[in-house]
Amino acid sequence: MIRIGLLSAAHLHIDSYAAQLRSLPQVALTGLWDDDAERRTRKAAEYGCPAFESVEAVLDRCDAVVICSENVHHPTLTAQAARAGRTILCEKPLATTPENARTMVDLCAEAGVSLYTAFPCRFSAAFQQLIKMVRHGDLGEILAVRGTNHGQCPFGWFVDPALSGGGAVMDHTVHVTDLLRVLLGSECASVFCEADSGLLHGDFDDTGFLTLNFENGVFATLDASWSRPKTFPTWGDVTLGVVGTKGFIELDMFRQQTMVYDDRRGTATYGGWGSDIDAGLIRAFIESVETGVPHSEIASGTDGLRAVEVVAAAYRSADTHRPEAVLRA
Amino acid sequence: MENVSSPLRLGIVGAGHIGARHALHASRLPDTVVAAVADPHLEKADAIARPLGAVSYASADALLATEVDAVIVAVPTHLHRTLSEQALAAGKHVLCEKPLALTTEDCDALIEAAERANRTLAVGQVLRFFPEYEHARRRMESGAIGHPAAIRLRRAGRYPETPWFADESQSGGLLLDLLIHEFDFLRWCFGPVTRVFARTLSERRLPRLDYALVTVRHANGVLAHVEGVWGEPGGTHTAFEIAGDAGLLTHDSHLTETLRTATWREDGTGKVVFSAPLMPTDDPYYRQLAAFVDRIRRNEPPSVSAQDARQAVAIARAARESARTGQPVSPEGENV
Repeated sequence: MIRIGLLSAAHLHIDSYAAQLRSLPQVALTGLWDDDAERRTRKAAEYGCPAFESVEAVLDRCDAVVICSENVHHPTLTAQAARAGRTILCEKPLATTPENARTMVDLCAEAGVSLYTAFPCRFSAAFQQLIKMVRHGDLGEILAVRGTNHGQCPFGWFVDPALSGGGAVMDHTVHVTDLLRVLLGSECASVFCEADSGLLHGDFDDTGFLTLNFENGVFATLDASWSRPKTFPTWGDVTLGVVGTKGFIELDMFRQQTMVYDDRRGTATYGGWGSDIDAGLIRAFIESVETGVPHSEIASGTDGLRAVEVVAAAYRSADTHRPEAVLRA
Repeated sequence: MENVSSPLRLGIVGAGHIGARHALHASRLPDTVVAAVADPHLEKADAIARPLGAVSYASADALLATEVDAVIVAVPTHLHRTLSEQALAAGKHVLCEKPLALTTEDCDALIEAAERANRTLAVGQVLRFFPEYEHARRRMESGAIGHPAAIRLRRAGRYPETPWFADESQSGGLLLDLLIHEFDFLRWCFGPVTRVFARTLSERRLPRLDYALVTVRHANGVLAHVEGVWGEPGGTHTAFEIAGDAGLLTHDSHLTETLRTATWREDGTGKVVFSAPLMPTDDPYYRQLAAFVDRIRRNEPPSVSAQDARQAVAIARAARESARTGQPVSPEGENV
C-alpha cells in the first residue's frame, strides 16, 4: 500500500489529484494538513482521510506527499518533506523565485528525495501525439510556436501577490513554458513580456503577453492572461500552434468537450470528456513511489525551476520593457 | 471641391486580382460607371473593361488624361506613391489600395499631394468594411464587454502567388502587406500605439512560408497579440478575440461558414469546401467603394483617412524594425 499525505488544499487542483489518488487501489490517503482549520476539516471529510494539525503528523504516516499550498509556502513544505525523506509532487509554479526553487531542488537532491513538479499537460494525449509527430519529422524543422494558457481569474489567494508571488504571469506562464521545453528540447534564453491589469484592475497582473526566444533559435509567444470572463463556458485553455518547415499543427488540449445547456442553473458550459491529464500525472507519480526510481515522464524539480526562471525574466521584462535574459539560478 | 459628374466616372489603374475585384463591385454601384481600366498588359485591362463597356489603356497616363472623376490605384505597393501622385496631380480623387506606401515618407508625400490637389485620398483598409470586424467594434463601443484590455488577432493565408507580392521590397512583405489590416483595425479600435515587439520568419527567406508574432501596446493600456501567416494550407483564416473588464467577444472564420459542400470526385475521393457568402451589397469591397463615392459626392473626408493609413504603415515598420533588432520599437508619429 502506498501512503500519500496531502500538504495543504489551498490550490484548487488538489480536488482532482485527490480524486485520482483515491481511484487507485494501491493508494491510501493517510493524512491531510492545512493551515486553515475550516478547510482542513472540510477537505479531509471530502477526501475521506484523517486531518492533522501538524505537517509532521502527516509526514510520519506517509511514503510521499502532494503539496498544494499557496505558492509562497512550497519551499518550506518541500524542505520539511525532504528532511522526512518523502517523495514530493509539488503544485506549479514550483516556487515564486528561482532562488527558492533552486534551494528546493538542492535540498531534495541532498536528501536523496525525488521532487516532481505538477505539470499534468505533459500527460495530454494530444501533446504526446504532437511530440511523436514532431520527432518523426512530420513538420520538418520547428520554427515558431504560438501558445496560450488562458484562464478565468481564480481570485482568492491567487490575486494576493504576498501568497501567490504574482498574478496571471506567475500562474499561467509555467505550463506552456514546460511544454515548449519538452517540444523543442531547448532552453528559453530570453523573454519579452507585456503585462498589465486592465481586465480586473487589481494590484496584480491579469494580462501577460510573452515572447520566448529559445537557445535553438525558435521563437514563441505565450498568452498567460486571465482573460476568460465569468460567463465563459469553461475555465480556460491550453493551445499550441506549431509552425515547421513542412507545415502546421494546432493543438487545443481540452477541445474534447460537449456543449451543455442547463436551464435550471442558467448556464451554458463545456463538458470535457477527453483523457484526464491529471490521471496520467498521478499514475506516474505513484509508479515512481512504488519503484523508488525517478520517473522520466513527470516534470522534475529542475524542470519546475527552469519554468520559474522564465517567469522571473518575464516580470523583469514587464518592468524594463526590454527582452530579459533568463538567468539560471 | 467642385461637383463630380453624374454618373460618377471611375478609372481603375491595375488589372490584377484586386483591380478586377474593384471593377466587379464598382459595376454594381448606383450612379457610378467604370469608364476606364489601365494596365501595361493591355489584354488584362481589356478583359476587365470590355464586359463593363469601359475603355482599356496600356498606361496610367493615358487613363489619367481622360474625363474620369476618381481613380482606384490597384498596382503593386512600391508603385502606389508614383501613380497616386500622378492621379491627384491630374485632379482625380484617389482610392489607393493598402498599404498606402512602403514608407511613412512616401505616405507623407501622398498626404501632401492630396492637400495640394484638393482631392480625396482614401485608402483601401478594407477590413473596416468587413461585417464581422465592424460588428465587433460596434458591440465593443456599445459597452458589451466593458473596457477592452487584451486583444488577439490572427490572419492566415496562402503564400503569395505573384512574384511582386512575395518580394518584400515591392509589397512590404507579411507585416506591411497582410498584417497592415490588423494594425489598422487595432488603431481604429484602441487608438495610438506606443510599443511594438515582433518576431518573424521573414529574415529566414523560406521558399513558401512567412510567419510573424507581434505584441502591441496601446497608449490607453490595451495589449494586443497579432499572428500572421503566409503559406498556411487551407486558405484564408481570420480570428479575433477582444477581452474586456466585463466580457469577451470572439470570432473565428472557421466557425462562421454557412455552407459546407461535400462532393465526390470522379476518382472516388471526396472534396469538402466551406463558404460564407454575403449579399452583394454587404460585400466589404462593395461597401468600401460605396463609402468612397458617397464621401466624394458629399464633399466629406474619406472614411479611412490617409493619415490613419500612414500610422498603420508606421506600426508595420516598427514591427519590422523590432524583428530586425530584437528590441521593442515605438512607431514613428504616434506621439501621444
